[in-house]
Amino acid sequence: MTTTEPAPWLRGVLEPCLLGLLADGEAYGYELSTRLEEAGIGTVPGGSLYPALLRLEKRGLLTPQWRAGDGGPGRKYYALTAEGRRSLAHQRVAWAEFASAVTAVLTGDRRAVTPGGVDGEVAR
Amino acid sequence: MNDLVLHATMAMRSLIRRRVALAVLVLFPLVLYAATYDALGRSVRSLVFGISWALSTVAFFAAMSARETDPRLRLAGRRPLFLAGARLSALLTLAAVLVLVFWLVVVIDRDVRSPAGVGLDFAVTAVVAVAFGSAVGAVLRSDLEGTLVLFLFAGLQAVVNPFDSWSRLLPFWSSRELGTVAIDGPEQSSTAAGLLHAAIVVALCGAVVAVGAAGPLRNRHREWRQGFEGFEPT
Amino acid sequence: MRNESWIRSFDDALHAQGLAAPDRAELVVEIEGFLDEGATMALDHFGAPDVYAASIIELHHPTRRPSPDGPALLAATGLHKGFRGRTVLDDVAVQARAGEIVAVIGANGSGKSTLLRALADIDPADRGSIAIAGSIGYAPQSGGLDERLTPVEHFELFGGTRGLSRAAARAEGLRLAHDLAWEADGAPLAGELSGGTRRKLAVITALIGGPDVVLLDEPCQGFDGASNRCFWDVLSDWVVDGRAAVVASHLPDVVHRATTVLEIGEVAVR
Repeated sequence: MTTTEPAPWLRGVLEPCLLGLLADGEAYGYELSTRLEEAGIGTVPGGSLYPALLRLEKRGLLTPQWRAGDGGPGRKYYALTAEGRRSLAHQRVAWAEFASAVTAVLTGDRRAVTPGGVDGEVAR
Repeated sequence: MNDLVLHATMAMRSLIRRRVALAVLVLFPLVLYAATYDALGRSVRSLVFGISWALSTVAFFAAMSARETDPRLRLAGRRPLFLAGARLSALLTLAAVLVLVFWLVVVIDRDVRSPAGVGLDFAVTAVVAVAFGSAVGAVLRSDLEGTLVLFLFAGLQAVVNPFDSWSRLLPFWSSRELGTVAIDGPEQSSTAAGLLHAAIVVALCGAVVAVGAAGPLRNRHREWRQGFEGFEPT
Repeated sequence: MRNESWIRSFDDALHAQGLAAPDRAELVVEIEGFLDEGATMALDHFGAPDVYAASIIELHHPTRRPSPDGPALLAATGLHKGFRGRTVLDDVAVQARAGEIVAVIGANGSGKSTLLRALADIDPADRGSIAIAGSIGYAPQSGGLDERLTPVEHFELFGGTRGLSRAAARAEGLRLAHDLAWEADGAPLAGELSGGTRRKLAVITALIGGPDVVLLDEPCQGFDGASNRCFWDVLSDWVVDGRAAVVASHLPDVVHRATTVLEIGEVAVR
């Protein structure tokens, strides 16, 4: 293995990240992989990237389209569907909640925990 | 008609691919014939015994093979009598070839009193053998049992005294009767009696095959509906 | 491993697991584009080709969900059957709707085969009612073939019985065989085939000509992993056109592949 191993949690956030990148407009596989890397999320091996794209496609969140490449055999572009946009909107909220909860736990600041666990209500 | 040809062709292919068994069955009558060559009457009777055993065994094998496929083909829409008919066509075709070969051997090789009578004897024997082998195949379930039973009946016919009245109960009695007419003349035996006996045996065997082909009594509560609309079960 | 040979192994593995040529071509082109543009090695990014192919296949053929609103094609109720004083089927009910794959499970001797034989009317039940809309195909637990006919001859015989011409029966049989990861053209007599291949032939002769309901008794006995997967894909595609299948099996994966599960046993039913 010459590529850096992705962080262990990347697997869980890869699909929402792909939806987020595609919110800016359609893109193809390699393009998404470089944009993930540039965004600082990490190097995603093709063996994780394409199955994730296929899963999203099968769930109807992405729609693929083949475009003729520059002299090449063509590229498969992925775009969000309406369902994909809905899912992204939902996951933005869910992620924000989750991220703050994780941050709270990691930093030991339990008082800053998520909605629901406001202020001193959290058991010590 | 095309369907019948298709099924008969497949039955024939399945039959003739038992190469070793077929070779033994063809050679067996000829070996008997050669071994009893000195006496004309005895050698022809041996040959007839060989034909009756060989062809009834082939018919029995064919019935056994069909046990695997026939129920499934019936389920797919073929009528039992159609399937039996296709198999019989194949068997009778094979029988006709064998009978012709044996008959040519005898009439070219020997100076028989009535070549036509010998031909009739062989042909009737072949038809009775196919019918009897098919009937045994409708009743018995194992290759070994069937082969032994057929050998018993064909062998008994070869050794009993044909003038004992009980010997008329044997399925191949007509072979002996018609053979005697062809070799020794019609003094003590009669072509009509032989043909009548053969007809009765074939009819009885046909009934056994037909009952076997129809299978056990079908479920009276079974309901078949054609078409694709489906239905609401009660 | 060089990228070219990786791609070839990947494509072979997809093919062996029954993925259609157009789908394979798309996957291969996409990966080739990725490798070219990133100037990377396939093995580093995708791992072993056959493992990656298996994960892709799993995504392409997710486990089917039941389709509860199709019309019932087979409905049997109150089936009883005894052998020598022992009750094998005791008030068994089965229903199969269009689009459904019903798995019949149960221990050895629980009556799975007896049930299928009764439904196929090969060995009728003592009591009970069976209603079937349309035609039936049946593959018994063993045998059901003419040992001295070739697979192609079987296709002609069974396809012809369901109204196909010889050429059409041959083509359909070879296509079904191919979908089951078996090239049946030129294959020897049925009696000379391996156990698993004979099962494939029994399944194909049940499916050929498209009966409305197919009853398969332990169809995957002796199949290798890829063939087993292919079988379920074939059957899933097959019932989609408004047909139904009843599959008796003791293999654990039948429960995941079927749309409905019916467990039968000594004591009671369902």
